[in-house]
Amino acid sequence: MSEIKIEDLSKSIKGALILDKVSITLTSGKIYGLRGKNGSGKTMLMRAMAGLLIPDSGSVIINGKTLHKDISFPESIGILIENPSFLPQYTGFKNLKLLAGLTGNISDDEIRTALDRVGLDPEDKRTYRKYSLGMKQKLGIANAIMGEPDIIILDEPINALDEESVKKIKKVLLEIRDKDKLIIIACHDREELEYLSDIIYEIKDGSIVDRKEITNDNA
Amino acid sequence: MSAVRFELYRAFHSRTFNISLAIGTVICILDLITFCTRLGIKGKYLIQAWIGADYQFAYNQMFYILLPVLACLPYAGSLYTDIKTGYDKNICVKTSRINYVAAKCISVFLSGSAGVAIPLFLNFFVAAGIFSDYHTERLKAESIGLIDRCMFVSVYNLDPALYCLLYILIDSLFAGVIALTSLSIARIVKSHFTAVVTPMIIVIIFSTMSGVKDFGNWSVLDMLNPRQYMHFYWYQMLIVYLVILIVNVAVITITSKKRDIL
Repeated sequence: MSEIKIEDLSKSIKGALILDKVSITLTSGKIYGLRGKNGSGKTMLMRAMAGLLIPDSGSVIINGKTLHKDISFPESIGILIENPSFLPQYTGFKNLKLLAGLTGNISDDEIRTALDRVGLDPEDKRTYRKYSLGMKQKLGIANAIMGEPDIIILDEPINALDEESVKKIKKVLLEIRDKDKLIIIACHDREELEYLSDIIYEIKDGSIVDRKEITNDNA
Repeated sequence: MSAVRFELYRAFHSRTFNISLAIGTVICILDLITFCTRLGIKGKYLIQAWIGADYQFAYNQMFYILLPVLACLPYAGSLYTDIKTGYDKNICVKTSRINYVAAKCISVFLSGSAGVAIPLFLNFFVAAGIFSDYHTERLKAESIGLIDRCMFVSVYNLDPALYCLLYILIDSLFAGVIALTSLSIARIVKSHFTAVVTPMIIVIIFSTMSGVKDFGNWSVLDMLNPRQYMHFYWYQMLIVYLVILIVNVAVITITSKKRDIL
């Protein structure tokens, strides 16, 4: 059971207010959608939840522990925020293996499974620099879901993916959600976001302006 | 520990580390080939042929001027690249910022040291297979001309080969320390090239100024050179190393600890 509690979170960068007293609570077993125009603060809110952004005021509390006070990063998290970035000289598997080594609790089999689930061949010998845009995106998603962390944050996960891959990713995300994981997604495609999400937050000028519970048949 | 292992793997398997090694090795091997072909082997000794002490050809100067680049090239630009490409996001959700930066410092230090030590040692190793380890007459042409007031002259008197090894250690330690300069300026400069080349420019400017302004012999370039045509004390060397190290570590820590990862 995971919980992210955001309390009065504010952040300015170079004088511009990008998050304005955001307060929300997210719990596991659900997919949360973030919707808003470009520059509304979706990505910044995701960065703050991942511990990448240091708040000016307010706090992000994950499972009762405050980020940047009790913990410096969430204990079990996978992210894909903006463009995926990996080491160009290594294969997809090698890239994930190196990153998995940082936590030490993800096996080679789990990495292979993650690659397979997003539609990448774990035995592919091509290096990352030779990957297509879609393959890079899939590797970014595989990185986020490998080892099935408690919290998964995906910013525009279906960008650059073909229709078949989108179906596959949606299926994977719903499967992971059903294992009592907490997933947060930002997506410009209204239809896809509504299909995947249980709850959608509308963000405008760095503030949450609307909360909408979605009832659909994806469960 | 896993962050250190991760960064060390990246450092020692990088293309830039191999390029740095290749440049250093080419200079060192060319020096040895030139020494053997121009001056011959007979009657020459290890201390004369080793690139660190060989003043007959330009390779010695070339190596020591390029030393900061050889040190920074392997991995010092990687923080800049990680920030620019957003790769640091992948790391900072799996380990703390401070662990990441500490691991980066360790790997930059060690890869920079290795980038300088390996070519110097290779040159020494090959030269030792060709020339005998023998004390040359002091101040004689083709000898390094160490006199009693020089640093580490007792080591030289004990065994010239040990003196060579000591200077390989001294130079590689400096290489590690100066490589950290590249890390500390990574967020200020706007290119990988600038991050790698700036430490060399700083060393050259500082070394030139120390000669012009006459505030004692503090030329880092001369300090590192085992030929010792300028007189230094060991504590000067220690001060220079410590000042660079402390300034770099302080800048890196301050700029990295509370950094937003965008």
